[in-house]
Amino acid sequence: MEPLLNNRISAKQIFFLIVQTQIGIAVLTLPARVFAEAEWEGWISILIAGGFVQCLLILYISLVHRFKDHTFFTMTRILIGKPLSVVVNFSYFIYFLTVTILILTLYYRTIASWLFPETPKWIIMALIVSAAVFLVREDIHIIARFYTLVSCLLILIIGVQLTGYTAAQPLYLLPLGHIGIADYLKGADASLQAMLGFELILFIYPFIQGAKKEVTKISSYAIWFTIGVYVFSSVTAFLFFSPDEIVLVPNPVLYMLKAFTSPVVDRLDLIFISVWIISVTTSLMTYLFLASQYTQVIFSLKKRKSAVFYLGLLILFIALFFESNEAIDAFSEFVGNISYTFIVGIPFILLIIALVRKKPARGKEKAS
Amino acid sequence: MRAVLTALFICIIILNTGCWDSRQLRDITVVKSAGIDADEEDQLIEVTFASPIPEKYRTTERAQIVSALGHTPRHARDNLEAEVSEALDLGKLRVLMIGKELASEDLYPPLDIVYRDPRSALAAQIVIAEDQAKDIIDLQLEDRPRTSELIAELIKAAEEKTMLPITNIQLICPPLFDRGQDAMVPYMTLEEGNPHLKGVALFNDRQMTGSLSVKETTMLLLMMDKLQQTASLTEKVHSGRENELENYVTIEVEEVHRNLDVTINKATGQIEVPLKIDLFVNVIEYPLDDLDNEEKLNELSSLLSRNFTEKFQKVTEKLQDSNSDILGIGRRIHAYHYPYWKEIDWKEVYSEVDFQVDVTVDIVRHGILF
Repeated sequence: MEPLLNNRISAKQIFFLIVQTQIGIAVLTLPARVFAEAEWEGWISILIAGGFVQCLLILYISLVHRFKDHTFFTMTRILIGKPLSVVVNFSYFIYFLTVTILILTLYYRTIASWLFPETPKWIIMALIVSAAVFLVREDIHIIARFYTLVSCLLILIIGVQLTGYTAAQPLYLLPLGHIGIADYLKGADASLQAMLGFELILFIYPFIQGAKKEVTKISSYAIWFTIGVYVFSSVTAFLFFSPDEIVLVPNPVLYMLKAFTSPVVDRLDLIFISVWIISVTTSLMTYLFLASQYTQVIFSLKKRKSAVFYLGLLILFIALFFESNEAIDAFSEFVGNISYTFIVGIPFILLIIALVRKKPARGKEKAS
Repeated sequence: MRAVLTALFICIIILNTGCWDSRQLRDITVVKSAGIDADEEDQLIEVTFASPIPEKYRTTERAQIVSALGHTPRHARDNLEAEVSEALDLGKLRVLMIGKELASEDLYPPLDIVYRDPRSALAAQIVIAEDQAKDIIDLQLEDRPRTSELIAELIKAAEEKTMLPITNIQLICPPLFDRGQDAMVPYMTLEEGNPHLKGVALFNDRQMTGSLSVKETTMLLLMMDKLQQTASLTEKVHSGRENELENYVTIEVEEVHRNLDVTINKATGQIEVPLKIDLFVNVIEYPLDDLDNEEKLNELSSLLSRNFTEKFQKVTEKLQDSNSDILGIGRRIHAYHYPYWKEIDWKEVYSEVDFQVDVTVDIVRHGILF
């Protein structure tokens, strides 16, 4: 396993890796989704979900830090034995593929309804998948560099939304506290799907150069940055649309930008969408990378590059099947539900096992 | 592997030179202004589209104007495709005009087509026509720019002078759907063959229920604290002068301080809205030339304060007559008195709100003359 861990990434790059993985498809729909549950107080729900994610992050790091020299897939073998670990690892592999397929489907839906209604589905999907395959074939430090590079585009994603404030009605955010705690939690649940991506730390922790404390600090910055972007986007949308209107608009962030025009840029929403495509691609890349990392454990190291190609073909092929909006929504909800198992359930059980077995990690494994 | 990927990339690039979603200018008719009217007799909708004719095909007309009937605006538009040689493209629309009759029923249904289409120009101006929208869209004035440009520019200039609220198709949508606030839309008519700005159409929910003149709109916008670059008001302050011109003063508002409060009298259930407006004005026309000392200045400002208080109050009454809550009082009750909001039906209560307008005029300048 040694060569695998050679390509180290710096602790600072972890910030961009997490942020770029988290921010993706969901930023467009999040305001409407949380509004459906918590109305104009949805932004509080996002903060609640953020607190939850922060706890999970600390839990993850305390788990993977015990196995600093192992990837997640080899760690499970040590913790729960070979037969069980095969099942767990394989289900993570399927989970990553499911998420990539979901990203691809949702991406196509948005592009088809906003930008290219006539262009065939496979072209739009093949374009983004080929870009993802092209990069994911490279090593993690190359991917990290790319994410760092494209992160400057986030400024544009945030900046463009400021135009919404020219027609903002601050009273739309009041009154506060008009719903019960259950509604806040439902909103938090709805926003959790947008947060997905922080679980990346479970899988790339051994690649990171840096002390545990520093990694914890920087990855926390990353998730709070993402939450900041989400809260900002949601508040902007809540201020711009009236409450009865926002429920009609599935993509409030994009829709809002359609209302503005300037002599230089006629359609701000189209600018936004082209920048947003990159954020979506990076999320897709991360999950494709994680899936290919699994194949590295199953097959030999050298096969990862070609595995990426076939995995790309596979997700493209499956994603082509989803046609109706209902099927996509059902699929999306399904992924939202199963993600709890993968981001909360399994890591939590693993941590408990690790705690019970008390540091079996380093010395023991090397001796065996 | 590399060869396969390269081949794939080249293929994709070649295939993507814009086969499916490209829209060549030569294949489309760019619609710059559109009108939608109700056709009473047949329960149909009539749409009218005006699009500029490219210079090289130009005969005597500068614009091509077509109209057709249908059950919905989209249906009518599809019917039109049989009449024009190219596909109609509404992506560059500048003005959308709705007939009053249609707006009095419900403004949203005819607009659904614009809100739903990803290509539509939500930043286009929306206007209510006093009579038929078609009559205004149909205009081909020889001494003016194209009608679509003319109307769009007219509205834009009026917005800057606080004669009209800043609106477009999207910006009227939040108040249109807001239970605690209502929308207003520029209102136009045809006067001696020219498009003429009448003020704003007032809406109650999604129905047009009344209108304000341009001067009343300015006053309303001042009450909403929405002063743009300038706002001028002409007011009769004297009545005894022989020369009629000397009875009037024109002021330009430089600054507004507004204080709006919503209180609910627990005992009577009466909603009171004290609305205090301080106007800092510049006298830009006063033929009487009589502002050489402070006493006279004060006299004029208190005269103006009294007159404006009365007139602003009248505007609020007019809003209540149309049951149109443009000031967003309901929104404030929703935000600050939520339990009370849930008890009441705002549309029932609104007409009984007690507006207590108090305007103070402060003359800060009077040009380069006394």
